[in-house]
Amino acid sequence: MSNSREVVKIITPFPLTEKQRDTIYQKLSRIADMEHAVFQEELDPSLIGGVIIMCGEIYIDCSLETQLEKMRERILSEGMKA
Amino acid sequence: MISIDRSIIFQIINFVVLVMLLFRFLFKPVVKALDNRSQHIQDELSSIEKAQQKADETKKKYEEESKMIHQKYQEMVETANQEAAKIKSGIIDEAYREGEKIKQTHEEKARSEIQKIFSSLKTDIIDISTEMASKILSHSITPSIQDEIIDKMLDEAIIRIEAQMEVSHEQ
Repeated sequence: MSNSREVVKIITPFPLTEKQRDTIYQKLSRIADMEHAVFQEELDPSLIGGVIIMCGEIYIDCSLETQLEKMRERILSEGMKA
Repeated sequence: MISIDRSIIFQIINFVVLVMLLFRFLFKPVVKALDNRSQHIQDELSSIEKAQQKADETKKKYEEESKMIHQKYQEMVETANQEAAKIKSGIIDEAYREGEKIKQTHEEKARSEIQKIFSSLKTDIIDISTEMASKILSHSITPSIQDEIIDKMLDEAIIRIEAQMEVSHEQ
C-alpha cells in the first residue's frame, strides 16, 4: 500500500462530519499509507448507515444495508434448514 | 265164470298196440320236440340273463364313469373357485397397494406443497421484516449513531484486514 497518490473512495448515506473523516483516516492509517491519499467522498442513501471504503485492493463494506442483507440471508438459510 | 268176449280182448290188444305205436312214433318226437323247445327256452333265458348281466355291468360302468365325471367336475369347480379366490385376493391386494401408493404420492405432494407455501411465507416475512427494519433504521440513524457505527464496524474490519495481512506476511 505504498502508492504515492492513493485514491480512497468513501461512500456514506450522509455527508461525512469532520469527526467521522478523522476516525476513518486514523483507522485506515493502520493498514495503508494515508499521507498522500486523495479522498473521494460519495453519497448513497441506500446504505442506510455505516460506510463503504475502497482503497486500492482493499474493499471495506461497513454499511447497514449490507449487514441487513447478510442477516436476511442467514435467517433465510437457517429457516430453510429448519 | 266170467265170460270174456273175444272182441274185447282183441280191442285191448289193439289198444296196447296203438299205445305202443303212439309211444314209439308220437310221444317220443313230441317229448323230443318239447325237450328241444325247453332247451331253446333255456338257451334264450341264459342269453337274456347274460345280456341282462352285461347290461348291468354296462350300467354299473356308466354309473362309475358318471360318478367319476361328476367327481372330476366337482374338483374342477373347486379348483376354479380356488383360482378365482386367489385372483380375487390378488386383485384386491394389488388395488390396495395401488391405493396406498396413490395415497402416499398425494400425501408427499401435499407435504411438499405445504413446505413450499411455508418457505414462500417465511421468505416473504423475512423480506418484509428486512424492509421494515431498513425503513426504521433509515429514520433512526442520527449523526452520533453513524459515528458509532463507523467507529466500531470500521475498527472490526481493520482488525480483520490486519490479521489477513499478518498471515500473508508470514507466508
